[in-house]
Amino acid sequence: MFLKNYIKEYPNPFHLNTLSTLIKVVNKLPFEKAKIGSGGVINEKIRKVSNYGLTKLNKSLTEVHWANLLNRLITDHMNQYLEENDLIKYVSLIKEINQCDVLKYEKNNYYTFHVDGGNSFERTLSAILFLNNDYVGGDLCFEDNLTKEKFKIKPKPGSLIIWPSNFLFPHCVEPVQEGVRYSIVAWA
Amino acid sequence: MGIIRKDYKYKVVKNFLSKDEVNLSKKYFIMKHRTNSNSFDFTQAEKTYDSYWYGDPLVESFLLTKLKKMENETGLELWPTYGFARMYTHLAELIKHKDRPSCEISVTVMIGSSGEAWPIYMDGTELNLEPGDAAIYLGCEVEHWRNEFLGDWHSQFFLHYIDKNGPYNNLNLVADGRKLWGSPKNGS
Repeated sequence: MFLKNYIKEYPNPFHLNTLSTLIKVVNKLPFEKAKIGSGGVINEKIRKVSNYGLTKLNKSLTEVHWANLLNRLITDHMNQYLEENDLIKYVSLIKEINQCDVLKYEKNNYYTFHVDGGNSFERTLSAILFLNNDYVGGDLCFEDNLTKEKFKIKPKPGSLIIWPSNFLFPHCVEPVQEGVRYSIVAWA
Repeated sequence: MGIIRKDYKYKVVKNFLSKDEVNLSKKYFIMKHRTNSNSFDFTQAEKTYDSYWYGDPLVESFLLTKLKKMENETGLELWPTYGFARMYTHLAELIKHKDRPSCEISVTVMIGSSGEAWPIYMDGTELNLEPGDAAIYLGCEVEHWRNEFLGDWHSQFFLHYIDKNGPYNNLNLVADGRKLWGSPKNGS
């Protein structure tokens, strides 16, 4: 599966103390049911999860701080990804991510197979930062569209996964069986 | 020996800034914080990697314009070294420490906050500052710290000087070794 080579893991972009602080901040956020598509509809047959958007426009300056800090760290790693994969000749360096959400998957929450980029969203790269792994299920699972081969990623707290957002990289989050799965997702 | 060593090692100065200076500084640092993309404190085992600005032009303007006031309050002839500002966010902490020689005579100025008290401790004494208030202290001698911050945001700036006739009266410390006020540490 050569496409698998374009799914890259960057361990520990954060100091563990900082990751622990981020988890405490995330725990207090007022999550809402996540929507899908550019129209922003709730469809729990496709996506059952809660989310909260972190932006520099949020009222809370703590949330603004984490939005800016995550933007810096994820943008830097996305640019590192482009350079490592010799993609700079096709794609210009990323100035900033265009969306950053915190996701909370509780028991029986999931997201069926989907791609992040397409007609509705101009996204080149996708990223997920795993915050914890004290839960059962909830694996991030990719499927090769040609071979139908599946590739699972076991979450490691603090690791950042980056992959292309295009239609060659359908992925899902398998149902969480026990516990609560927290992660940060971002696109650029 | 000035009155700072003779009569006190630290003290609170009410209304160190005028109301207009406080309002201007508060708006300025909230804007700086919201638009911050690069100034995060990665230099220590920080829990929050909070926004900080070394050599900020506004703070260094205060560094220079408050020189006479600082000389009156301390009874010393002073050389300015550098100014620094920080936006603390939820769960920030200031570990117990003393400062480097460039901070021999220091003043920490409270700009604003989300409303929660967050005392600074100097040699074990709790000091509570209102917006515009300041605490002057011997940076290299007085141990100072803050416990974990439980509010949303707290903005503070710091002005640092050396005693022209003191143990650190090294001309290389003037402007902290920089050629220009309002420039970064390694700038020209």
